[in-house]
Amino acid sequence: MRNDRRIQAWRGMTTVFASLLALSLSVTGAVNGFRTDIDKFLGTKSSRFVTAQGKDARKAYTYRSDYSSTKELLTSVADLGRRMSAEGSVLLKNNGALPLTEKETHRVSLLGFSSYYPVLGGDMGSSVSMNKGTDADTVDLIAALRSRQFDINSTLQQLYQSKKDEFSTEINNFGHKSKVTRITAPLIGERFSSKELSQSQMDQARPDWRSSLDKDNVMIVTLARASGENRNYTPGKDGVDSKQHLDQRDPLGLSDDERQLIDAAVKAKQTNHGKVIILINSVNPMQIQELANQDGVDAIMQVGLPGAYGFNGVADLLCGRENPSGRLTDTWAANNTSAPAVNNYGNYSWTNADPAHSINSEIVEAEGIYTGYKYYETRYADKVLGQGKADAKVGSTTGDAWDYNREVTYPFGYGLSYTSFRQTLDQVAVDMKEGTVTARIQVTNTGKVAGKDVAQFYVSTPYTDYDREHHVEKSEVQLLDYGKTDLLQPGQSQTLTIKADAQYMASWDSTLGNHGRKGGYVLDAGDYYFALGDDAHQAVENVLKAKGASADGMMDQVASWNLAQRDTSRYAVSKTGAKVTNQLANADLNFYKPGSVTNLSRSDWESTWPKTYKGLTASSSMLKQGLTNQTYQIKSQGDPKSVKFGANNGMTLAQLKGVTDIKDKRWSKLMDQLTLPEAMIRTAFGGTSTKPIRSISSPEVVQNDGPNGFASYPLGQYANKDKQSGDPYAVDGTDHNLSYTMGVMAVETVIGQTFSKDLAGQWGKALGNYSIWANTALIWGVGTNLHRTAYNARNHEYYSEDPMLTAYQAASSVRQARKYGCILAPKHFAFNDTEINRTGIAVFMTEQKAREGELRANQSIVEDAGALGMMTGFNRIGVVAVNAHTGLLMNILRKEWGFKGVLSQDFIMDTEYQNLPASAHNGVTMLTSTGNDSLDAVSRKWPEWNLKNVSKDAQLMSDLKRNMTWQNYAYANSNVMDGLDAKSHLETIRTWYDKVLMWSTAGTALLTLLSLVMYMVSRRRYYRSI
Amino acid sequence: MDFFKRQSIGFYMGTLTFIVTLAALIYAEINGKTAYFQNLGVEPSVLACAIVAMASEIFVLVSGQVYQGSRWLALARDIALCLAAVLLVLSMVSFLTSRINGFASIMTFEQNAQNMADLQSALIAIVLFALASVLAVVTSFFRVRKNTGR
Repeated sequence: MRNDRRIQAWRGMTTVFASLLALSLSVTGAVNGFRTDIDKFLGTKSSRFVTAQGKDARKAYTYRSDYSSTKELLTSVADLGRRMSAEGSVLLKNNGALPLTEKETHRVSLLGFSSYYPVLGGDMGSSVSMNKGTDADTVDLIAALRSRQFDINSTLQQLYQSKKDEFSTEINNFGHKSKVTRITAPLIGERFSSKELSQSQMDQARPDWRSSLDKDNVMIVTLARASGENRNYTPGKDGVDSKQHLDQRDPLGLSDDERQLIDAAVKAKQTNHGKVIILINSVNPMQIQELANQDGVDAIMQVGLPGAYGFNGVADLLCGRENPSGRLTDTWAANNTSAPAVNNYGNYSWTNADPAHSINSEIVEAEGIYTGYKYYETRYADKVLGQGKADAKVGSTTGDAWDYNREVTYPFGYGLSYTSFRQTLDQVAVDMKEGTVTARIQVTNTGKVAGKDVAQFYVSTPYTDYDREHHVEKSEVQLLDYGKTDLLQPGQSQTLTIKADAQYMASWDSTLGNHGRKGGYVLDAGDYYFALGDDAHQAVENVLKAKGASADGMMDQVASWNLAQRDTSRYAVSKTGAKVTNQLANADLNFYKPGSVTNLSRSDWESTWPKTYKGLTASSSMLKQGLTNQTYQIKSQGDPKSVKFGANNGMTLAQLKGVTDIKDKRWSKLMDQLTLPEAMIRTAFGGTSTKPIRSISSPEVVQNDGPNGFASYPLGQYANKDKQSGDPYAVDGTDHNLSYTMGVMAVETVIGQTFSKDLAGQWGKALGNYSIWANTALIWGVGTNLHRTAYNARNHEYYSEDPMLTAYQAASSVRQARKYGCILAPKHFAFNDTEINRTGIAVFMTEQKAREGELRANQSIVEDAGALGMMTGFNRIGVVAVNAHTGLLMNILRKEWGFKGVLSQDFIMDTEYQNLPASAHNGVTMLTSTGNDSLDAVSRKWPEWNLKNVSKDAQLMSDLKRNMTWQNYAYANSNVMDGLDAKSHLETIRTWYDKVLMWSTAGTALLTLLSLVMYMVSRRRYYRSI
Repeated sequence: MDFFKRQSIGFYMGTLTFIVTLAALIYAEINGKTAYFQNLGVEPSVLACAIVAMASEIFVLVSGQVYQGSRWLALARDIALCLAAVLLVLSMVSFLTSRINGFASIMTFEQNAQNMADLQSALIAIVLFALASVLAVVTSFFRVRKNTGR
């Protein structure tokens, strides 16, 4: 080789190795920024707290599980899943066809592809974990029926299995693409496509399928609609794939293929003398009036999305081992588009939309408080009472005078049983001093089989002239509280005592003078009616009867109470002592554009019927006051020296384990040790996990997502496998349950449909137990947004259209989970009412709607259950991002309700819209970004977020310290601290990938050096040779 | 034509590297102005590395035309070749790192046609940076001009 060629060769080699060295070094830097996710993916750990082991090691573990093995743990979860669906499925229609006799269970024909490929959970979010080889494997309908010795028509099974590919769709679940065989929900902007086979397709596939029904004449037809995060059903024909030509008028309505399948079964019944039973595998209310009216359909049961074990409960219901006791958590309308909220449900872009500030679209919730049954039942009452032009044509599906019976198929709270019950309201005692309404309700099983019954306790408050003048709206009835009986044998009675919180009878009056400000809760003078009802409609009938109207009510199910004088003071101060005044005035579009929005009022249904607010232009004041995300400017203010950081007090977080009084001086002493950079980094980079804080020995806390359970990681990912650690729940590394993932429970709507605080509590208990075994304490696990319309495909993660049902079901879970040290956190606070443009959408509403709707759905969870975690929403409230809204986060959540826990943003990645300084100022304890554990890394994302700036702003410094106190307070009162004591110290672990990177850096550095030397030598020789 | 006849593989490879680097930079800039990524922009370190890399590539191509140039010029050219490759690797990793969270968010919580298009331009930029890095490394094995000696 010529010398110059050698130079080229060694130059090339030097370049190769220098490039690899650069790659190795830069990847090492990048790895530090994504360490938690990498550890999650690889199953490694990068740090751990070391606690001196010995005979006292066990004392460092505070919380105790109810189970002694993973097998016990998992089988209890599976059993709960079965019971959740047994009590959470709703029997909508039954002419005696259900339950099936033992003989009938051997003659079952399953029709509809969703019988074989059902929807168990969400497409994304609350997706069901498909566990195999564990002690609690996932079960579908077929497996559940077989386990109950059902015999299933094999001809049909073969037919549907032969068409399997036609039911498949590719979905993306948190970045993991997979093909699923079932119906899926449309992505935003897409349309629903029916996958049901046509009759000709079925005839072609198996010409003998009809004759197979002669023998197997119990014909169960499953209709399904899926749900999912980042999904949406567009109302009406626009939401349906028009190319299919299936006369489907709405994505939640039936297609011709579905109708003809049911008709075929009904026709077959004429000759085989069997039964036609419909299973509704959907939580989004489907438009099934035609099935309710169709005589040939013998029974309809809504099973929702039942999770990994729910079909066992459904099978038990079908064969009569269990008796249905579920109740609808939403109004099932004949036409979902008839709800006033639908007039403002869609993609309404600002005319001056600006992606630079995440300004995309708006939604004006002009229906006011009239969501779900509060609309349908109030309008019905007004029609009966002949007021408010309730019989006008607006909102009428038929185009004629509005008629309740044509609008509502099944009311809120509706559900049948295999037995019958009688309920009487024996006593109601209102104690305004204590702030309670106590009801004694006697429930008697008057039928022939054992069953449970739900007592729904509604209140009807006076709608006064003052209300009409001041735009205070009143629903004719609102659910105040509820209870569920034990299993009652035929003839057996039980007296339920419901002690309701009277504050939820109060209405929000934004015009009220209060402590020199405006707004407050009001109890109007007049007659209050407390009513039971098998559903909201029956409750209204009872109230109307008591009012003397001509109605189909029962006087023994209603009681009245009179308030002599209008009371504006009882709830002027919250339970924490905070003054309660308007905080969300700027959530109303009328705040910026007076008179621009007319909110729906029962005083005149016709003239206040919501129009669609679209084509709006954000004014300069709207841009300035929130839309451009400039609500907090870091500036030199206050005395930075007054905020103490970096003290050396020798304390650790473990010393404050279980200290529930946040005013305890030890908290401030501990938090004085925190350094300002630590607080700045932790607030900015809270994604996936909150990292350890060395100055106070606060451990890393891994976050989990999943309203249906700990779905983010398998049980073995963080479970303690060190049997010598003293951890009573350390697992054996060979335990076959370590691969189990707990995204298994029926979705929130089904949990809501149980109307059982006890079952919701058991779910919290299950999460708490699992959290101890899995060593993961924090889960964003209860969805508390409301079902504003039927079309939000994410409704499955939320309980109901009703705030009280939502609040009490969620609170029951949160309260029980806390007993096991699990931080079960509600989301998405608040008004994340649509998945369309959710990052930035401006949601407008009156403060009355906000207070009596979604805020009420969260209030008890904080006030009564003591939630220690909460996640905010992607959206704006009015023009301000919810993360930056002082009224919402500081004045209501923190001050009025007394929330003291960790408050995380949702997964917002836009650095401006994250509103870091404003969020910190308003009590958000962490964003969801991740990055290297350094201020430089933070400042690269948010240049203003640097030590020089922040250390001048005493307000922000104080906010940061306060936030970190709240966050660590939550951890100290959770099982995060299990295994830690005052002497525990943080130890960094060099993972295998750290070693690989270190060796690759060293290796490439060495080879670069060698190549460089050889290059120099070659060069020297060359120049000597010429 | 004589000019091209005198060029070696290094010239064509170097030119290609320059073009691909320029394309990567353009795509990075386009991506930094998309609706989704505009608030993130393009990190100055990505820009600086890519621009210096391109300057190095131009220097290599121009100085490579000098027949029997000084030994110091040759040394500078060799350093520039190596530097360009190293800087392109750094650009690629920096750009990728700055986009990963966005990718995760788009692929999960914010998947829609607009965001997917924004994600695509980022992916193209990353692929082009990677390609430019490989080309720069390969270029370093070849001389720019035939018979230039050192």
